Amino acid sequence: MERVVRIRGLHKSFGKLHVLKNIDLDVYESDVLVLCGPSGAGKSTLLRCINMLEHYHEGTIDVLGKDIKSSRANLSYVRKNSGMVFQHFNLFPHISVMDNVALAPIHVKKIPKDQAYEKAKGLLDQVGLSAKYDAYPGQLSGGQKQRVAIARALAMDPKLMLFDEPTSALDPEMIKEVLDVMIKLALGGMTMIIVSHEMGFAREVANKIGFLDDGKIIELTPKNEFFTNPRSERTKEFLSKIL
Amino acid sequence: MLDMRLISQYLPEFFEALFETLKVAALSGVFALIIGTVVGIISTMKSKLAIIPVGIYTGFIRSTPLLVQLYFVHYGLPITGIMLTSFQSAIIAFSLNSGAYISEIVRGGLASMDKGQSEASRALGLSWFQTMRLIILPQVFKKILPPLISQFSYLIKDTSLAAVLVIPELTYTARKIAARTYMPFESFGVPMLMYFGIYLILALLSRFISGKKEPGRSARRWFGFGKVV
Ligand SMILES: Nc1ncnc2c1ncn2[C@@H]1O[C@H](COP(=O)(O)OP(=O)(O)OP(=O)(O)O)[C@@H](O)[C@H]1O
Ligand SMILES: [Mg+2]
Repeated sequence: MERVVRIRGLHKSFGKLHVLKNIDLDVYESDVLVLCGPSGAGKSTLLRCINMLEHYHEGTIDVLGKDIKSSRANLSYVRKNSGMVFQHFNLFPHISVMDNVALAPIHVKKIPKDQAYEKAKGLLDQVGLSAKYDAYPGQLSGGQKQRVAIARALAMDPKLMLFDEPTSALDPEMIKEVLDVMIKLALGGMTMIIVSHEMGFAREVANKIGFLDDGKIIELTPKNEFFTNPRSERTKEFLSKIL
Repeated sequence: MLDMRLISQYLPEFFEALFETLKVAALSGVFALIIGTVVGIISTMKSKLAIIPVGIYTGFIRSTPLLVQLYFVHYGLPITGIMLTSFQSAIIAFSLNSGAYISEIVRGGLASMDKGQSEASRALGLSWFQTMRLIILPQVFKKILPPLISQFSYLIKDTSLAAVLVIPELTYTARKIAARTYMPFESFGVPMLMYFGIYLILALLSRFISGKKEPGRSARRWFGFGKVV
């Protein structure tokens, strides 16, 4: 199986604060990796290093076979071919839902406009927002916003999707509609890295679960093993708190 | 008594002068907007190499009188071999002056933007330039439109200084007509009303744009501009 992400010896600091400490990580095609761990462990930072929203100091990250730090072209290739979904959606509020989804295909991939809009419609249908083509982000609920954000990322035909706590800013009754979309994606074979505390969701769709604490990956195991037979004490402690 | 006959006789000339005033203001306004946007963007960068020249520029403009800047451009620059017509000098001085103030408005608008907007853009593969053009600046300009309009209204009043370079705008024309007719009340009263009219139009425009968010029945509501960012 093809390797999508390869991280070796990654270190990242914010000033004096050493946030990621010697991270190694491999993610393969169609993997659904859920990253969990206590607040401040470095989960978001690790995710954001993968498309270089954060610069890192040491180590290498290869995504889709390209070392993202070695050239601008590589980084831009990786960004074009991966999607990211944020905790706070980060939709573009000044343009319509359709334009949010079609913008990157039009301006980055240079796809003809009518094709891009056709595709945007299809994606919005897929996430259950057929009625909202012309709405503006400000007119949507949190769950709807996050589904638009997923559609926006999918519009670039990504080979890898990164999710940073996609449901933690949502009201409980909206979490399911977003998770359902993500489950469909996972079942469709999308390679996904998801920072999440939704252990029920992790149980259902993840094939691997990683546990981060204090900037280190303490445990990275197949899902079943993670829940039934965690290797480290830290993981057991964490699991007992959140399950 | 007001001499209405005199006013109507000179009215065409006043309107021509008003047109000249608006021409100077509009041209300077466009250049100032370009300068202000570029300088505003540079001023948000982290590199000292970028920030220091920008700081010197805005600091210098803010701390010296516009009239002196105007004289400097028109009478000072020829020493360096740059010869300018009065009109060119005025446009340059007003553009640089207004551009400095606009750059600070733009900088404030950029600083108020949520970091998530540029992160989402970069994650989608947009270049820095595309992110600015498609995502950041449209939102910033929408937000700063009221203070930009109010800056433009200052610019219109400032163009009266062009009278010292014998540009046939409103103030120069008023002085000329006053000297010719010995009727200073009418000669300066008409331009006053014209300046006021433009100001009022801009104030209403600004109020219309910033919506009904700011209720209140005070005079400020009509004569003041919408809240600055
Ligand atoms: N831009 C930044 N500047 C300085 N410190 C930062 C920055 N971003 C994160 N940190 C610090 O790095 C550490 C790891 O942050 P990170 O956001 O990766 O944690 P996390 O595991 O995602 O936590 P949470 O579950 O709360 O989201 C924290 O101590 C945080 O305060
Ligand atoms: Mg986080």
